[in-house]
Amino acid sequence: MLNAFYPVVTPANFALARAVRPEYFAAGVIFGSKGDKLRLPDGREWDCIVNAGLDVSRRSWSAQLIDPTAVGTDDPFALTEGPLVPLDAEFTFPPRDPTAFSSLVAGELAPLEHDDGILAAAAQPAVEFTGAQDLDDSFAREIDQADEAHAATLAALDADPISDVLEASAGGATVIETTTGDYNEPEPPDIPEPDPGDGPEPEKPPPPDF
Amino acid sequence: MEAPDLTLELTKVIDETTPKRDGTFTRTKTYTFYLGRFGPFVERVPRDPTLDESEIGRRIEKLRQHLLMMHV
Repeated sequence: MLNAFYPVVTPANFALARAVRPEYFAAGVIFGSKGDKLRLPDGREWDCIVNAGLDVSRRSWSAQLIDPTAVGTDDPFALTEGPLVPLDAEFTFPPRDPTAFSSLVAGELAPLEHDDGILAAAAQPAVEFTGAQDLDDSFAREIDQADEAHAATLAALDADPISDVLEASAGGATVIETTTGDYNEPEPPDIPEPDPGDGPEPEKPPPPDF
Repeated sequence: MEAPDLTLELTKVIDETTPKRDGTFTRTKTYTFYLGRFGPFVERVPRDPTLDESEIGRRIEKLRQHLLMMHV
C-alpha cells in the first residue's frame, strides 16, 4: 500500500498514510526519533523505513520486525560474554546457619596460632632503639643550659624588690595628667562649604520624528 | 514465473460520514476488497463535493501494479 500510494519515502508520508488509511496499520503507533517505526498493540515493533537517516533517494518502505533478542550472526562487533549475569529471580537464599560465622572466624584465626614469635620479632626494633645516648647528650647540650638561664632570670627578678617598681611607676601620674583639666584650646576655624558650581549640562529633548 | 491471480473481490462497500473536531463532516465511500489472495484492502474515496466513480478503479490498478512488481 505504501509503495503503491506513497512513492516518496518520508516520515511525513508515513504519518499521512497512518492517518488516512488506518486499517493497514493494525492500530499501531508511530514512534522513533525519525518517525519511521511502528509499535503494534501486542508490543511488536516494526522498522518501516530503510535508511531513514539517509537521503530520500536511498530510502525505501519495508516491514522489518525489530527483535531485541536477536543475535547478529555476522556482527563483526559482537560483544563477548562478560562476567556479570542477570539475577535469577527464582533464587532464594538458604536459611542462615548460626555456626557458619564461628567456623569462619575459627578458620581465619587458626593460621595465626603459635605466631607469637612473629609479633615479638616485629616489636623488637622498637625495643632495641640505640639513640638513647644521643638523646641524652642533646638534652644536656640544649635544654639544661636553657633551664639554667631561666633559673638565673627568675633569681634576678626575685632580687629586685617590688616596692621599688611601685615607687617608680607612681611618679608617672604627675607627669602625664589627662583627666583632671578642662579642654581650653581654641576651636579650629570652620571649613568653608565647597562651591558646587553650575552643575552638569541639562539633558536636551530628543529630535522630532519626521 | 506465472503472474498471480489478482482478481478483484469486493466484500463491503459502504457510505461513511465521519465528524471532525471542527464540527464539519467527512463523507466517503469505503471499499473493502481482495485482489486474489492479497487483502483485505480498505480504500476511502471522498464523496465531497462529488464522488469520482473512477477513483477506486485507479487505486485498485495501482495496487495491482505494485503486487505484480513484488511478484516479479
